[in-house]
Amino acid sequence: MTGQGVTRGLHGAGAGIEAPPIVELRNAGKRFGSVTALHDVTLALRSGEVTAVLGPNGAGKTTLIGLMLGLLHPSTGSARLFGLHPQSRAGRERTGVMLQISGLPATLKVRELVRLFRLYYPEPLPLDDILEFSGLVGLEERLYGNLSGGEQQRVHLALAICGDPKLLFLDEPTAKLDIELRREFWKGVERAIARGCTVLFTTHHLDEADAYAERIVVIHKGRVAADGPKAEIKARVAGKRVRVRTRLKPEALRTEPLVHEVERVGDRLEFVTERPEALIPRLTALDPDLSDLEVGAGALEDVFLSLIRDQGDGPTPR
Amino acid sequence: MTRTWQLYTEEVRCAFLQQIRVPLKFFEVPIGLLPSYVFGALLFNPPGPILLVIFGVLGTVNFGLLWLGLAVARERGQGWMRLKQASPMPPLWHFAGKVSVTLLNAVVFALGLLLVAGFAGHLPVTIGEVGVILAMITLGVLPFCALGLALAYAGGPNTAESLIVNVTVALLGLAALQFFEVGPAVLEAAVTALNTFSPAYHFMVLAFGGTGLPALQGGPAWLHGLALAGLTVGFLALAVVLYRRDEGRTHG
Repeated sequence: MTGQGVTRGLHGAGAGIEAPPIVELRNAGKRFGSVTALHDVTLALRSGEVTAVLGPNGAGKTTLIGLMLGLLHPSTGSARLFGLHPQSRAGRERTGVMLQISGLPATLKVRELVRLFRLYYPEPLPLDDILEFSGLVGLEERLYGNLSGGEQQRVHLALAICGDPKLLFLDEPTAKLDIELRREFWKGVERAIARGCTVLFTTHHLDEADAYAERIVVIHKGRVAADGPKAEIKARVAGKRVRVRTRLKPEALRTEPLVHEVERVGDRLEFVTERPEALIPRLTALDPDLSDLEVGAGALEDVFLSLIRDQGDGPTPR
Repeated sequence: MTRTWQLYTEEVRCAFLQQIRVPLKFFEVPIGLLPSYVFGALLFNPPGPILLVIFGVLGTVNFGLLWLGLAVARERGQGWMRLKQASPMPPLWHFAGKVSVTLLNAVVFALGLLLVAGFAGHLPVTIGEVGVILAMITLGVLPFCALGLALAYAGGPNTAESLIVNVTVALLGLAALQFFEVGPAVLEAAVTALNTFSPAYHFMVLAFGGTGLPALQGGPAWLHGLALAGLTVGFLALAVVLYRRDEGRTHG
């Protein structure tokens, strides 16, 4: 399961009958003064989905989650959580949340924070289970303010899962974590997914979306630029990646017709091309000493950059 | 123990622990006011009951507005309230916990004030009078708690903090002006009109009522008690409306 994404079937009511969405936005828009953060978004999450929402800074990802949670009131359209108003307690009792900005009181202990949050839910997980699940065993009596960044994120995860939620919202949950801690964090989330939890997360780490999500939604300038199964989204960029160690310079290759993009990554060049079988002989002709050749599928990053470029923003291809 | 009672007691416990673990936080208001009382007692020897009443009013207003109001506004800015609003937290019990700790602080302050008054001011009070003073300060803090909660959700959290401090100063100043001749009748009328909506003024009249000094009387006590009760309900209603409109802002 690790790193391969979690694939589970929909828990429909019967053959051919689609289960109702557990989160739904219909033509939802949000304005903050004169700024429109989201335009006419229609989106539905179904039980069991693991969805990554991607987008550049300011695209509207946090606004999207805010509408779904009932933290924000839609300026247009509607939002539903488990078929109810997002602010309804019944809906929120089935939901766990990790927000991008949510400072916890520095002078409360880990055990106190979790014990308090557990009481908000009708059927919370046992306290010891929550602490073990979140990797907080041994840290129960520490003040939140005395924890490291990674430990604090684990407390946030504990508060998100303490109610045994059916739905988890994670807004850039690993933004402050190093790669080791990110891996540990996702192990905790995978345990929640294995318990049947539906997950929606936002992230700037495209490798996380690639690894853990089944469905990708790309938001850009307040609109949904793409929405679908991961494989379908990745197939949008017709191309493969070719990596090779070579003395050739990227500037000299940008005008090659077979090359969509080229960049130097460390001591290698990375190409995006639709026809690697034609490009490789061309490269070999230019540099007979090239080595360490690898050919791989197009990456989510390529799709993402391509989508936001098409919308008139983002870096231009090299 | 019912879940509701468990929740309420846990909110009280957490609110209390948050402050008690910050060095001197629990004694913020007393440390600010009690030495001033001692100074006043020495300056106006004998100080009489007026000084006790003035500092009692100052402490009561400070606990409700500055202590509670600023604490709630800061938790908004921190993002703690944003997370709680996204959870199924029943807001009633969260804020009831905070108000309960504020009442506890007010009681401790009142006891400290009486002790200091007794030693430094040589103020003889009967047990009955101690009870009345404690009750007045404890109940008197409620309208300021209600106003503090409403102001804590007025605008963004940074705006709210600024508003709370300014309103506290304005209320106390306006209330004090009521008892002096401030100049033209139109100005005095304006001060009187504004003080109709000021819990500080009504509380001050009730508190001073016990001194028996004619210059500080402000009408029948029951009228001011009724005004305080009405203002408490009004401010609480406003706090509920503002809380429901809040979208979890953490700045501004």
